[in-house]
Amino acid sequence: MEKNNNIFRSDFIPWIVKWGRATNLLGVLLVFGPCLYLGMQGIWPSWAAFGAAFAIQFPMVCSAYIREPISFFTMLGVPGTYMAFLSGNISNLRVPASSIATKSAGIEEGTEKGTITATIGCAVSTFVSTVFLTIGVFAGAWVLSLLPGIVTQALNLLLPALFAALLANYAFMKPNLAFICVPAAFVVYWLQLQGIFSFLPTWAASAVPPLICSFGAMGLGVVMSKKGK
Amino acid sequence: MELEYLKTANSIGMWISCVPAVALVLFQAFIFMKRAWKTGPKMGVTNEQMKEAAKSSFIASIGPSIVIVSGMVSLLASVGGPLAWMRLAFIGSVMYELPAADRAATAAGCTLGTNNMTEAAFANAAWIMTVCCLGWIIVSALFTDKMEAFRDKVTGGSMDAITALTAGGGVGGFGYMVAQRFLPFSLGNANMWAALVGFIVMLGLNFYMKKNPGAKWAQQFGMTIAMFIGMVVGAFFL
Repeated sequence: MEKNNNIFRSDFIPWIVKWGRATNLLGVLLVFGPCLYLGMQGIWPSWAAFGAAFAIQFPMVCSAYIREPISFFTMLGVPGTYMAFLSGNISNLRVPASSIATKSAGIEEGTEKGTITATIGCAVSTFVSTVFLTIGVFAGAWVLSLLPGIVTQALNLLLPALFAALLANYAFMKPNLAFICVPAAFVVYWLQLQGIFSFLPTWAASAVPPLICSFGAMGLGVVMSKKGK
Repeated sequence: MELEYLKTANSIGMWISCVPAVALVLFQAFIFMKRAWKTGPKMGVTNEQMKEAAKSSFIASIGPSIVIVSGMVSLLASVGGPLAWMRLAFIGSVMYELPAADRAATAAGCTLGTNNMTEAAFANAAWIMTVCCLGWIIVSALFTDKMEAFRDKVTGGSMDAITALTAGGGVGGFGYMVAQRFLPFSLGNANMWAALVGFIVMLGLNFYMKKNPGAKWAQQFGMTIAMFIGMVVGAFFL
């Protein structure tokens, strides 16, 4: 174990859990702000339409409620998980920012020191994206209309490159694991495209394949580590 | 002419109702960062390391933030500024919000961004986007500390096992997401080339950093460089 973990375990993490839980539960209330404002103006949805849309939307996202925290927790750590799920844009911004922060400090991810740098990275990314969104909401449409079409199209390629760069980092951490799990992930997705998982209910058919990849790789990683590979 | 429902959607009252949620996000990030900054040195994390962490995540966040803003622009036209702003700064993700708003409008018999949108249909979109994002925040509020306990149990506190678990989560999770960009296989697939080049560049930089542990630039900007080169090479296949 790392030394000095007393401060981390007895002070830092309990404080984060206390405040993280309180702020996220407060978030549950605040998110209703716009709905309440509309209600105060006498504008309510038709509850039949709400029910119909809910019945379609909820099954598509509910598996992500479980899958995303589990998949990203090991990379984000405790503080990062509270922050990432309050602010959103998890895989495309919070996880990369935490990971980059830790790596740039020369600290190993997932460790206690790494949790400190991941917290800083996640918080900084929150400030950056909120500032960009705030500028963007006023000037975004105008700025994007100035950019040539090829640039806006190319921007969509930033995420695939980012995901792959992150994959390279994690693969470098445990190459033996990556040699097995990356091809396996491709096979799982290929099987999904072939309709192998279509016997499952809709909400599970899209969630099970990525869960197999994440859980499978995490489980195999721990087993290989315990065998000393 | 501005659509009728967008007048409500862009009203001052809507802005005011959205500000507290976004303020909460900033408040939480601020107090967590302050606490981490205070605790770090007591655990052997140096000030320099924390500054490096802040600087490189700042630079690396810019590109993805621009992508989020470009996603917001399409949401902006459909649900107005305040809601688009709040949904992307608070719990939401670009990937979820537009389909959610679209389904809500359709269920109310309307089409987003057109003059057959009623205020009730807009309210439906607001309610669906709100209720369907609750799961994430509730799960994280209630179970994050349990995940920590569970992780410790699985790894038995072994440092190497914790690293392996983190690497496994990354390799499995991002392996699947990269596979989504590669398949079905086609040589003209720009997404595949962007991912492939991003992967190769970052892998190369990792080998370089192992040989040259003092290479600060690679530590700080490696991911941004890989992301950018991947995007540029991918753009040739557009």
